[in-house]
Amino acid sequence: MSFLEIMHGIYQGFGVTAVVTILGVLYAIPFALLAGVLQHYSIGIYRLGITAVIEFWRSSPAIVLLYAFYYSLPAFGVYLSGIAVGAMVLGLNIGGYGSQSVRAALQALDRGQCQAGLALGLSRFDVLRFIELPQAIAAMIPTFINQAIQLIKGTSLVSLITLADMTFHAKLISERSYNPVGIYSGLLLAYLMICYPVTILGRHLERSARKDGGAREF
Amino acid sequence: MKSGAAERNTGGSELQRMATPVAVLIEGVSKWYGTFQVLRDVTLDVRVRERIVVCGPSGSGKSTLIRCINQLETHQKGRIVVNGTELRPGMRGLEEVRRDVGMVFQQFNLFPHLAVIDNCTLALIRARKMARDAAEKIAMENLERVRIPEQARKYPAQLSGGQQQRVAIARALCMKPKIMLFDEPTSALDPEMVKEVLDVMTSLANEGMTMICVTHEMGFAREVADRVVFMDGGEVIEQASPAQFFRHPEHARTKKFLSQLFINSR
Repeated sequence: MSFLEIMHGIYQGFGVTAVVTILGVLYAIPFALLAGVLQHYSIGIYRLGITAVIEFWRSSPAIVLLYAFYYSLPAFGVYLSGIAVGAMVLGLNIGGYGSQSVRAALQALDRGQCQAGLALGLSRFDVLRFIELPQAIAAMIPTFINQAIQLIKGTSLVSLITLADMTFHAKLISERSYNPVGIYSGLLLAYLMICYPVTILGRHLERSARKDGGAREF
Repeated sequence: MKSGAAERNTGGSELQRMATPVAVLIEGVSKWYGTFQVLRDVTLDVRVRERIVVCGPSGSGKSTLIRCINQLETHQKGRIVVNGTELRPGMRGLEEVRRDVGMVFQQFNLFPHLAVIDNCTLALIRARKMARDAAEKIAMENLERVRIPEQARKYPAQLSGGQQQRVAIARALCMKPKIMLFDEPTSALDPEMVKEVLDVMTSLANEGMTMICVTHEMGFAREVADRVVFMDGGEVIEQASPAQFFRHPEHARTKKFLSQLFINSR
């Protein structure tokens, strides 16, 4: 098998990898923002509750979560496709990490920012929306890009719940052609070729956020 | 000594004062941080158009007191009435009360991600539900009032400390507050920038704004204040007209504080 044939075979799974990644991001970002904000502002039993949810997704191995949700949900009468389970589990797992960068960024803001907003007569929610989050998000971009890359790499696990992603296709052709060295080296390269542009995009976003100090309209 | 300060302390003006509506009423207010008492039974009334300077050593509770007036700090005992509304913990309508009470902070607290003009219009658009055009017009008027309209499109980090504090004053004025609170507005400024901020505050006072200023600028107190309030250990120790306060302080603690200020300023 030539190198081109190998890469062609691996990228047969690109669609699944991309879909799981994109859906995963759609789970991860709202979950990270919501959970991070709630954990930062809630107190007492509510804080305990949201912390438990975050820790469940953050502290469990992604592969165990995948198996648990893919193979045990049907026992409770819940039937989800592999893509749905993969995107949800990986997205919420990464979102759990993301929530901590949201919380950290909010905690790092000067308390005077919130006080100035309240003193102007803005509601607590408007202070969060127009003053705190825009500044926190600018500070979070580097971590978020990091986590997006983690998510792309993490999608290789979905091959274990029967999804035909890039890793699945590599295994498939490796079993047929008995050339594990060539094929798995190709797979390494295949992920690198996806992740590296994301890194570059991240650097670009970071630079532009630094240049205007996270400036924006409201 | 400015003659105006002496005149303000005549019996006639005291009668006049009592006839003027109350802007802020603070009655028997106490506050604790854990077991540490920061405010002890503080009573103070501020009339409309009155200018009050609150001074005292650091840790005397003066900042805490003015932060209670817009409930950035809550009090645990006593009553605070602002423009006729009594403030209670967890009350509804606190946002409306705050919109009529402007506050200027020691650290400016401008929003760094917004241009100067957007700092000024944010609350008009979001809290007062004003259209952007109308809000920007008000913002420009107030930036002109603090003599800084040419900086409207810049970001806070591009301005000097004095300019930033003037923007902070303009931002508060945009809401057309009935009362302005100043929490050590010049303490974080380089010495050469103090004057530009005090000048803006003085012209605001001359326009008849009700003002409560926590400050160590005794020159400003002398020139502008109707009354100087001295706090120590969470208590109001003494309040008097500037003339009386600086010439004939009654309490030993006031005398000690003034003498230390005097030594420091030499």
